[in-house]
Amino acid sequence: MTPRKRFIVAAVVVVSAIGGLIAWALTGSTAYYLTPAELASGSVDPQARVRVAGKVVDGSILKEGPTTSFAVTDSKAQITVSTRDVLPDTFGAGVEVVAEGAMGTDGIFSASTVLAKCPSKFKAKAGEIR
Amino acid sequence: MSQSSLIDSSLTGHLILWSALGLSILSCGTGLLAVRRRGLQLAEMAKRGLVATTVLILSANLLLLAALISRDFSLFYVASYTSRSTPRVYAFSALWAGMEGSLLFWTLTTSLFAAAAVGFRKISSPLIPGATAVLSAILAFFLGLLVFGADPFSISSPIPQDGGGLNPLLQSPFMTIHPVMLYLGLTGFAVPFSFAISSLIAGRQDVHWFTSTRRWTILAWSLLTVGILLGSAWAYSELGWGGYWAWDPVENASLLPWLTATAFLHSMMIQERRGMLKVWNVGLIIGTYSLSIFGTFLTRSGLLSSVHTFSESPVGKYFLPMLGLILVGSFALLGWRLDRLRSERQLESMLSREAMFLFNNLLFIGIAFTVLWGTLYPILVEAIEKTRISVGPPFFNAVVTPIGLALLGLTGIGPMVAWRKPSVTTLRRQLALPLIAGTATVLALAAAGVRSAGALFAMSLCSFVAVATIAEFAQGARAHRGPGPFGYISGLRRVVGRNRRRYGGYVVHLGVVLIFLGLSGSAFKQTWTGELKPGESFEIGTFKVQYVSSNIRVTDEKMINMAIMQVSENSKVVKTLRPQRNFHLQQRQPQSEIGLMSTLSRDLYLVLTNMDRERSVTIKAWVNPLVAWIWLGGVVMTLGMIVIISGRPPRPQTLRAQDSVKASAPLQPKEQVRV
Repeated sequence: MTPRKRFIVAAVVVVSAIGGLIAWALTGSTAYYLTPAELASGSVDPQARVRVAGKVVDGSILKEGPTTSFAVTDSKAQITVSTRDVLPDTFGAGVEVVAEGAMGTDGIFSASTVLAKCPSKFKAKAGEIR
Repeated sequence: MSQSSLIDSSLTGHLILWSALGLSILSCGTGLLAVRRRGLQLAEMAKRGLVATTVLILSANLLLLAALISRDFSLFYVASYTSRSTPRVYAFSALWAGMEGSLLFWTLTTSLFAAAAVGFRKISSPLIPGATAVLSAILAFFLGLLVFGADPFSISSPIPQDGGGLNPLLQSPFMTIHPVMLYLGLTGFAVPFSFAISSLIAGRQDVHWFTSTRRWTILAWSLLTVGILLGSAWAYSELGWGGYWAWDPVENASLLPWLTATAFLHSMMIQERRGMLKVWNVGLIIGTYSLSIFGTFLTRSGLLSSVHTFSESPVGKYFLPMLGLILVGSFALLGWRLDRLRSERQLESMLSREAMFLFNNLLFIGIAFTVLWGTLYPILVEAIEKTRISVGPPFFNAVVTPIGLALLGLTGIGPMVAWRKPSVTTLRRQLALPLIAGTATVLALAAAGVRSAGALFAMSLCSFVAVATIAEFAQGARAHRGPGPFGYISGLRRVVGRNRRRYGGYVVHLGVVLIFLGLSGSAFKQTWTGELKPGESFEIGTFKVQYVSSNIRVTDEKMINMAIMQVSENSKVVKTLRPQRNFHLQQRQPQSEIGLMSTLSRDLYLVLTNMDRERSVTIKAWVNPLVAWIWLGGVVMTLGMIVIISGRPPRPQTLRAQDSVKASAPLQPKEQVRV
């Protein structure tokens, strides 16, 4: 076998290894996005890790020690989220958030991370965009 | 602000942008004509047009800057990103804080690179007219964007009394430098890209297109590297989540061109030395520039949301056709010239420098593909299945870590292996010391109680590569050593001075080793979250942290809540940290200032997430081992880059000198010089 052919064989092995790694890692670390309405309908497997996106309801933020709970809504339904995560600086009432976690049997979504999806992140004047 | 100044800045700005747009189109056309007719006069005109366009773009930037500093709120952009209370230095950086300004600034950095790379060169050098045309076309696109899509000089009406102010997260020294570095890096790749296209148009098959632009490529790559590192340092010290890299789509967007550019920096050496990989190299530089355009598109399209994106804008729709044009046009040109870009030689051994570079490229492209796939996969799934998914850091970590470690291993082995057909016995002899160092590291760490297999492997690989790289310096110094007791030192100076590109590259490799060492520390991360009343304390790692007291103050700008935390280790007080949670009154936004104690062995990182009326605080704490080595590695990399750039462009002699160091594989005389 010429070095050139040998290299091609080795390259094919490396490329398929990377491809396999990508396929394997992708199955384990994707989370589905759901709306509060889909979650509230109760059809979601309580074990599954999902992400829920919605707006934080005014006056629903409750802090108890390291735990924060708040309600998110998509204007159709509303669910309660509870988290021990550090909330981002832009978090607050009316802000779009993405919470990742699982739906508990008590109907409370227990989130391991909460991201604020603030559309005006780099735009100082709120309400100007959208 | 008086009414007259309102009309002035806006009108002048528009006039400048329009004339720059016209001029860039003109110089693009003239450049193309010069290529066709081989007219020196036309080429000179095109070149002057490009330089004049740059001057106009520079004055547009200065105009906006002046408006920002004088807080001319008649300009909508100024009113949106500054206020009377914005500190002056941040009024300066507001130039690139918003979408329109950042595009204007992006255009400026592109044009500065273009003018510097083309403007000072003789027009008789064959690639100049084509490169001028390509660079002018790129500038014309961005100027068109500024004129039609993202106008930085639009008027605000009515003129507000005060502006919105700069987002407090952007008011950080890192944020004044990081975007500048990133922009200079990303736009700098326009230079090798334009020369590659020009070379394709001319149907040349030599290495002139990248040897004559190499310093610009290396400069751009260096600035991009520093920009990425500063960005993660900003995330670490400002965002308060205890980490430095989140595989956020926009971080990925800056990493992608870096990966392909790094592959290119290595693979162009094969073409230069061995006349191989001609098509691949052109492909890599096209890919790199496309990815840097893709990055600006991602951050401005509203396609995804992240902490770094600008607000949604209509600009996105201009970028996709531009990207398509670059990709289709460049690759069509490449396909047309394919027959002229045949390899001059073939691979002679799997254990040669060529093969090492080929594997290096394969792995870099593997990482780039992984990152691109992980970034785009959610968008593709949403488009096809209408369900929204997210791909998180676990995916990237799982795939990129093993490929990255393989690359690190190559960093150690590659430089030992000579070109063509090296002898296996020499390689075995060179491998001995690094292998011993790697094994010793595993044993020492295992004896010290380290049980994470991944970290053990990574750290022993780090010591393997460090020893192998230092051995290269030692070998070079020995070969050039002078007489006397300091002979080795003078030898080192001589060999590094003569081969700055090569030894500077090794210094960069050493920096990379340090960064890997820092990254591997994340295996031992510890974290604690809890509520504390004044006087209470908690333990994390070997530290005991006590919440001593609080401090609440109100300034014009913000309300400051500060927790005074006393850190002790082995019952000795070592430091007092003051994490803050501030509320910016104007932006009505809270912002955390972390409390950080950084040592070479580990960082203690405290975030104050809440302070209630009874002054009880919620603290999130991290112990991040070895993080400081990442920043240290960045400094070492920067030093290496300075060594590389300070070197003169290689002359035939320098190339030969490089070979004499590698005694194991003498090259045929006719192959030594390939310029």
